[in-house]
Amino acid sequence: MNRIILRYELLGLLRDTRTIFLSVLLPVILLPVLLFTLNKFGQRATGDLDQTYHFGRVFPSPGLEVVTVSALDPNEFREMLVEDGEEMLKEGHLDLLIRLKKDEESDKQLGRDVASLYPDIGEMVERTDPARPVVELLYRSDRERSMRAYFKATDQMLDFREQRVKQLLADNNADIGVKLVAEDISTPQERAARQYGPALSAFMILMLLGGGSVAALDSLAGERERGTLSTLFVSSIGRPTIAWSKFCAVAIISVAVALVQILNLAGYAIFGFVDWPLQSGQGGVWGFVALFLLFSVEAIFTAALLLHISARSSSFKEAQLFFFPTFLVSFALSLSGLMPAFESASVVSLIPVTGPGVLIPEILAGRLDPLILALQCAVHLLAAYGLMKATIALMQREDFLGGQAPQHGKELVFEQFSQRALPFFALLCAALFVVPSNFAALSTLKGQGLFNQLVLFVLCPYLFLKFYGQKVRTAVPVKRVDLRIVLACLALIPLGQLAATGLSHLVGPLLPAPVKALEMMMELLDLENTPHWQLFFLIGILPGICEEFAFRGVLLHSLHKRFGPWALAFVVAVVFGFFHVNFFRVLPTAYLGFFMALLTLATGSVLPAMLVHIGNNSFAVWAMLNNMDFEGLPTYVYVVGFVGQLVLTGLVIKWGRGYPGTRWFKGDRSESSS
Amino acid sequence: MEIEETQSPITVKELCKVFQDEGRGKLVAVSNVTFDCRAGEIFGLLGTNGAGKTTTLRMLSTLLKPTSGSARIMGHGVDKNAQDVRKSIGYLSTTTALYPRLSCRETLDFFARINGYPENKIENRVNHLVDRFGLTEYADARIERLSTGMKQKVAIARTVAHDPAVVILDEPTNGLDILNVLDFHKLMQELQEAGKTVLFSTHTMSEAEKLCDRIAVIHRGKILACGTLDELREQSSQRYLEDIFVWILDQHGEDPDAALETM
Repeated sequence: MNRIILRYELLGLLRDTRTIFLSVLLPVILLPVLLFTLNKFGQRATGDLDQTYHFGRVFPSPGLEVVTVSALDPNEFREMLVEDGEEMLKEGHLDLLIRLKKDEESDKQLGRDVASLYPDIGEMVERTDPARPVVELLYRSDRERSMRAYFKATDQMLDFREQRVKQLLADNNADIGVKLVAEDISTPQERAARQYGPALSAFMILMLLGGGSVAALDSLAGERERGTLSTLFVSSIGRPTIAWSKFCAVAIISVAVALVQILNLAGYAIFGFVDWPLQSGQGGVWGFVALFLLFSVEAIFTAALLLHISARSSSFKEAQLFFFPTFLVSFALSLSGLMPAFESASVVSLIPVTGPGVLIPEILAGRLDPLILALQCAVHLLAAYGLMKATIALMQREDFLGGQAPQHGKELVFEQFSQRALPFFALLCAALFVVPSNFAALSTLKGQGLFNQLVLFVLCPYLFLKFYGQKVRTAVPVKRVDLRIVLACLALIPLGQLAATGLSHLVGPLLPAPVKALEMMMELLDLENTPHWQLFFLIGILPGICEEFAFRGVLLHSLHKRFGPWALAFVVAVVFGFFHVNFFRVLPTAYLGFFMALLTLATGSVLPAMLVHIGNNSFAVWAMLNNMDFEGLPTYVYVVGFVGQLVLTGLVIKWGRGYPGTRWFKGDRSESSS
Repeated sequence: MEIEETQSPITVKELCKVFQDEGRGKLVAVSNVTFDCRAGEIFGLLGTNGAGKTTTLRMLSTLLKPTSGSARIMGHGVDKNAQDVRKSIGYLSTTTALYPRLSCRETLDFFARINGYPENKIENRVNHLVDRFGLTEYADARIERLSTGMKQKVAIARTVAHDPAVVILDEPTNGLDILNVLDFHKLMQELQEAGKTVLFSTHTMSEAEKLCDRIAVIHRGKILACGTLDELREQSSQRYLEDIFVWILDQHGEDPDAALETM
């Protein structure tokens, strides 16, 4: 970070009236409006006792008068004479229209019983000939008053009916034995937290994005457009330092927005303008501190996010176009507090902007969990750091200041191919989840074999390769390997099985295999009725070929210039693991996938990985058919499997010629660049 | 062309820049450009729009990386010692590239500081530049309130704020009125007298004719001729630079009429 750039950056930003307006003035004006609205909503929920509603009754409706007069509170409901009730309801002269209707499931005996039990409404029953009468309430949901009148009238009529039933039971000396009472045991602070909390998170995100937007969008995109960024880049200060300095300036503005809002809130709470839950006690002070901390890290995250958008845009206008969807998505995420099932002690806390939406109501309710707060702070700061690294990487690109990309022909196309590979596989993964579960024919063993293996793992990656003009033979190298490597691969099959089973044991307590998932898998395999050759073909051979084509072939090739061999094997393994739907299978398959990726990188050929994959799967099928179980073996057997796997893989890495284009490649370097 | 690599503040050897455009394919913006600028020399890159002047200057100012070839400024390679190169140069792009909400004085102070000018001398330096460029009246006014000519003056002052040994200017008189152009010419002479090396691009023949010690004619990314005005006159047997330019293009099989239309 450079002090001089930061100082002048802040000077320029503070002189921008748009920043001052969006960061300070607008929030100061909007916060009381928000609090006032939330208070009003709160009152709406509890009801306004002074309100008088007008209702009309459709004539002639003998007996209905008894019900309305007896049930409805005369302090709240006033009857109006109506001629055309529906018209008056439509025009807003009435809030509620009450009329009598015949029960569609008419039961004459029931009607007669009701008439005998309640003589005062006998006329009403007779009128409905003589089935049980239905009192119909007509209201308009587009009108606030009408809605409230409907809710109140329903409550009061149900109360009236309950009283009648009680009276009847008392008259007959009957006692149903159960008394139902309800009590809201939440504290006023907790109720207020529910009322303000979710909206506060969304409001802060709006203010942070709004306040930081002008500063951040102008800071890179605007300067790029004006040309001032190139003059900075020609100075002796490096681009990363420039990026961090600008980030600090935007972050300072954003944290200032957060501080202004906290002080603003505190002001309203202290002077009692709102029914603010934190206004008293020690919890209130800590609540404010926690809120400020949370808002500050959100401010830092939004600063990094906005700066990244700014770096991705070549002009201020383009940045504004990017800003709009970012704004909407962030706003939607910040509303997480409205989701009833979300708790802060869950995976929600790992998502920036979403976590605070859930945590803020908990802080307001006095249920602050310092660990969760620390976790959310760390998540926001890490995400901000990641975004800034991505921003710096963008700024380091030669074409950042405009002009064309410096790559040449094939290099440029390969880079695009490489950049879009992971999103493409994410799409495939989504298709793998969605399609078989929606098409019954594809959820069988054969259906999955055909669709998953042939369509998703061969056809789609093949089309992806072709779209970017990549050669299949280069992307999926099928090269002969030494006999000793083949022998090592054959030995890796049982060793890998043992090691993976040992790993499953190790993580079993953390990620237990759900019984239902295992049952579904056995149902899918249907060992008794499926011919054995089909099992070996559909589980052993086909995935061994097709999945290697997709993962150790296309995916590994697309990423081989972006990562070193170890990291590349890890990334390919993780992606491979996530394709194995059930969570408990992800780790063992990713583990085996890691070793298969290493084999491909070591030999420059997918054949060894195919051999091991086919061998592993076929071995598993054979074990299932023969009721062989690798569970419960002595621990040292698994350790031997693991050590043997390490040693043999190490030897293959030593013996292999390496993957062209990686640092493991031992052949002609010119071949690697082709 | 002989290159005296060890003595020249700027040496450029077989510099190439190739862009890959998704729509148009491979674009050779600069091809095997070779020249050098001696200490205290004003060197002009003369060419039509799109000739490769700006790309060449952007490579020299480290904003772009050369595809091949080499360029050294004050002995530092633009590719491998970019930070050292940046410390030695003042660069003015085709736009004024100023911060609208800073004042003239603040702008000069900012650029002097970030380019490492000694802190205790900054105030005097800023005052000197304000005085030299006739900015006294507007020294504390925000840039956004200045006229185009004044902005260009501030931009040039900003370029030399840290007193660099090499000054690279990309079409510096664009948008200036005649009085400001004359003042700019005077500044060029002052810089030369101060021993600075000035490399600037222009497509104005008279400007190049008046200011430059040596001129390189660049067209379609290639240097077609390089030398003093007298040398070029001698080669072409033409009196005026315009005629010399046409002659050079003609000698290289280019269509001078088409080229002149883009000037």
